[in-house]
Amino acid sequence: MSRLLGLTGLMRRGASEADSRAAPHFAELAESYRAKDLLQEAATVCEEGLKAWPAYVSGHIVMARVHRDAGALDRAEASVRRALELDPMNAIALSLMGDIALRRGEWENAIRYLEDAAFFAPADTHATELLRLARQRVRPLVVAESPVRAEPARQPAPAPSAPERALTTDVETEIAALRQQPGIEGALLLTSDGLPVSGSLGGGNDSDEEIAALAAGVIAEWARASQLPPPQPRGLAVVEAQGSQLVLAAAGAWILVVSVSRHMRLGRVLGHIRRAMQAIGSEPN
Amino acid sequence: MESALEQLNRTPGVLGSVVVAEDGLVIARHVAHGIDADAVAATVNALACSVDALCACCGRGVARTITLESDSRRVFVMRLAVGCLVTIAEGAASVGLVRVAMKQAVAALEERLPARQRERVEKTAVPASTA
Repeated sequence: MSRLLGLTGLMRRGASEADSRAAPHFAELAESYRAKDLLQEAATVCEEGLKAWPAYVSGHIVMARVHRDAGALDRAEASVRRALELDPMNAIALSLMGDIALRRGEWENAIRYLEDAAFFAPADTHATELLRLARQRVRPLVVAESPVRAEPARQPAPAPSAPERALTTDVETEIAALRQQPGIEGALLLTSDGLPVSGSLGGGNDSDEEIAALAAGVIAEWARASQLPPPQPRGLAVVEAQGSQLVLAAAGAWILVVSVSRHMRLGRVLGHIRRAMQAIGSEPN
Repeated sequence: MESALEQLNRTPGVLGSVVVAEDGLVIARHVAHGIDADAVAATVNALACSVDALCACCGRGVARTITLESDSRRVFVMRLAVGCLVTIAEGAASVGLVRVAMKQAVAALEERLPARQRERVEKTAVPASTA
């Protein structure tokens, strides 16, 4: 303990000297204690460190990990929420929230947080693995509770009804499901040459046609900007405007335009958009 | 101005940053070898015009940020008082980190943009809005 007191004394001195470079040391030290399962020591270092640097995000994250390892999930959540207040897009904190939700069996919450984490840090294999785990636990429940979503693949395909192009049931189902997600204001599927095929952004046919033409123009500019080879780029364009957010997803010869409420966090809906894109990408041109 | 870009480029995964004027010309650049800043400026400017037209059509106001994501690259565009800041990053770069770094860079750049350019934009904005 004397060793700890010495270190915390050093940390306090660092704070009084306003030496921000000293701040990371307490988090590193606490993390090394935590890794050795010395949770009490890790908690003491974190508490002392956070007194000196209450806005140090990594300190709150390590504190949350210590509480989580000790099985105190409520305390862990409080610490990680503090980290997210300071840095709402912190992928490690989001991943940790997902981890805590997963341990509580809150699968849907876990998926939401882990999708956010994977969006902000796609290379984070830990978050990806947790997300895979969360989805594995959710899938049986979703199938049991909503047979409508599970059934269509087994039913005979309905006659094509779209005036311009016939779409497979999978694509129609994905777009319909996407439009029902909270925060999604509208979704419009169009061909890469700017013709609307399915869905709407809510302004009527004329408006949708104009939006489709302009969206195809944006994708064409994007293809030029990224010097992607023909025929079409594959990926996402996210536009944050004053009124709301627009996501343009290009997949093969198809473009999906999704309007997202500006109050909705993009990480929560991008997973659904990517899923719809996958179904659309497999659609024959 | 370049020091703000240099700081931004220290973010993991960032390959380069360019400050682009509203006419598509480069104001400042700090890019890795192999990235043609002039070509980036011209094409991003055209893209921003298309996006603005789309946003206006949807009644969404003015686009503040644009994020482009493909398999190997991410391109971020943030509006400045004059023109925009463009950052090119690897596909695996953290979106959150880059966005935070860009916001800091935008704040630093806004302070350093020449007052004459601001005045020019304010003057040219009047006839454009009344036309």
